[in-house]
Amino acid sequence: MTEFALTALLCLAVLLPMAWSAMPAGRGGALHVGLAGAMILGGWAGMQAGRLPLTPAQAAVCAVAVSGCVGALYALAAGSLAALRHTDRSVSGAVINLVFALPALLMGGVNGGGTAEETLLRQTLTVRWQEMEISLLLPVGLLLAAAIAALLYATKWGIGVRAGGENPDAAAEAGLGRYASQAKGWLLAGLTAGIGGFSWHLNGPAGGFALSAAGMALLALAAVRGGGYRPVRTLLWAAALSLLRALSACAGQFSWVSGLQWPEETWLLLPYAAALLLMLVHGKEKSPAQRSVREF
Amino acid sequence: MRNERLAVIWRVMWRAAVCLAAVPAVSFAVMTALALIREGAGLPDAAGIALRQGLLPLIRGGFGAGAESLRAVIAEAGVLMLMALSVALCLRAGLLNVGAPGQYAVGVCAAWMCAAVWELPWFVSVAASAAAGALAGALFGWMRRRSGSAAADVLLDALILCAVYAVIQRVSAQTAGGGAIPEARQIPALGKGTDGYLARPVTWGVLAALIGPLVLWTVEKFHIWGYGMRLMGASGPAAEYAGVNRKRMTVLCMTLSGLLAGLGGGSGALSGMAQGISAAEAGLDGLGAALLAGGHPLGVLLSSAAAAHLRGGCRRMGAPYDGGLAAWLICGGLMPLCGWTLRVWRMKAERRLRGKKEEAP
Repeated sequence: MTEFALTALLCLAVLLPMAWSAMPAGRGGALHVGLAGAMILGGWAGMQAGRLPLTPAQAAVCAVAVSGCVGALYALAAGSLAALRHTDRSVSGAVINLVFALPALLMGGVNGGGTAEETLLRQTLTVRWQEMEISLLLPVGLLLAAAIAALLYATKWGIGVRAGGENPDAAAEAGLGRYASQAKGWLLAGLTAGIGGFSWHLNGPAGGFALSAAGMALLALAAVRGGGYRPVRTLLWAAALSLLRALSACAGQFSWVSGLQWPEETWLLLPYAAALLLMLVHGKEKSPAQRSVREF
Repeated sequence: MRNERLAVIWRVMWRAAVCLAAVPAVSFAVMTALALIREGAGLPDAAGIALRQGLLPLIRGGFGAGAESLRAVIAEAGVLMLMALSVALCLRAGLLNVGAPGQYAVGVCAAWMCAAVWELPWFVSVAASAAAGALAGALFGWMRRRSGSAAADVLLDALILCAVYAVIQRVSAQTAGGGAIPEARQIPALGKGTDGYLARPVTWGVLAALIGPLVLWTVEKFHIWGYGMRLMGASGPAAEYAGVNRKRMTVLCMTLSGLLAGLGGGSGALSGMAQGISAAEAGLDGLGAALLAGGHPLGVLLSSAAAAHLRGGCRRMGAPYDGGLAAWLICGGLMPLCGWTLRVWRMKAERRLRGKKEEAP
């Protein structure tokens, strides 16, 4: 039960910052499918930085910083390319995301994991508390989520980001700069995705990092969609999906789960099937900005 | 105005040639860099290695290595043509079939179940793969109508791929012969014997793949349905004003696209290809070929043949290059990127032409 709760919290610490930072762009009608690429590439870059010849603590800090920066740069590049599109929005956007995600998938796949440096990095970023091993990236993720909420909803900078996501034309009229206001949103989403990717690489399931990270990014998007682009509802959906993800990871530990005698794959696919249903139930053609949906 | 249109066509053709040339040129640059890093050689030596071990085999493709190599390329081209056609059909209607890999996998699974497990004749297996692909396509179309999000498509695609993999793994463990399809249940080869250019895996499926683009081009050009589809691709609101039901057309296009992808999967599975194309590879290569062809059914013939040729070349690459990884990068990454660039250029050129028309008195 303790492991289940810790896994659920870890999933929430990865999902929530990504979901909240992807929300401004989502409210404008452009869901950030490129989050998956930022997460994979950020995770990969973080692991590479963790191998630098530094003290363990320095290497850990450096890894977190590098993963965030690489994720942010990746998201900025993908977003800028998407902004240059002159053709049909859905076609170009999806092609950009596919093309950008491919090298990230390849690099993520190359980095198999399980090395001595990785183990050392994991040990450095883990604390023991009441016979439990807790990753430091868990509170870091939750604090990051709180910081993003504060940044987006309590600062002038956040207003610029939200304005850029919701209506770039209006942001330009207000003197915020069309590209600059959008770019802030991409950077923020990429930063959280990169750090989330690093956290998932260290503490997620062993093997198949690239695919499981892409799955987490899609869960984050589903939480945004299911939450109707509102922060509190997004938090609730992110928590629900985190519980399902943790259940699929720890299914073998519960006697009632083994009693059901469902195929193993059913539990693995459960959170993604739930996310798909969520997207279908809350599927709307128009973005909240066009429907004049309030933020809270 | 006619001269201006010719100028636009010329400009687009010229840029298409640049895009096609960019694929080997960029590949050569990357291969040289890799040789520099991995072999620790100087620049001239690294360029030599990249040329001998990478670029020349890539350009040669399936040629010059015996009939077996060429047969593999032809068989792959047949599968890729159907996949590219599936993506191109949707592109013409302004849609992107993100779920093509899932539809392909469903086609593979249906054909395999019919041929290996239930031991049905090959034509029943082919029909089943097409029907299963069409059903999956219809599901994607309904999803597109319902959610309007590419993320939902990606999720459904991943779910389908996982489910198909699990089904094949579980059923093949319980099937005699480990789930291999007997030769009698496979699509007959185009030629007789075992060593000609038309021997297995070149089957009647390749011929069907060659005819498919012609049929689609005819329907698209001369049938009212094809006109509606192209109108929707050019301008959705205009199509709606002209009486085209956009939602129904979306589902119809996705269903037909799924049918073609399923057929591609079924044809690949029933051709006895020693090493079939995976769903993800088929999806990405199909997307690249469709974009390079500008979504035109006849252009798909050339671009998918080029993709299969490059894939065959990647298999022949020597050390220090990994042929599988190179095929992923070149056919799955570089080709879609070039195709997308070409699409943006074409749209810009057409917009410029439209602007000139509006300015004309």
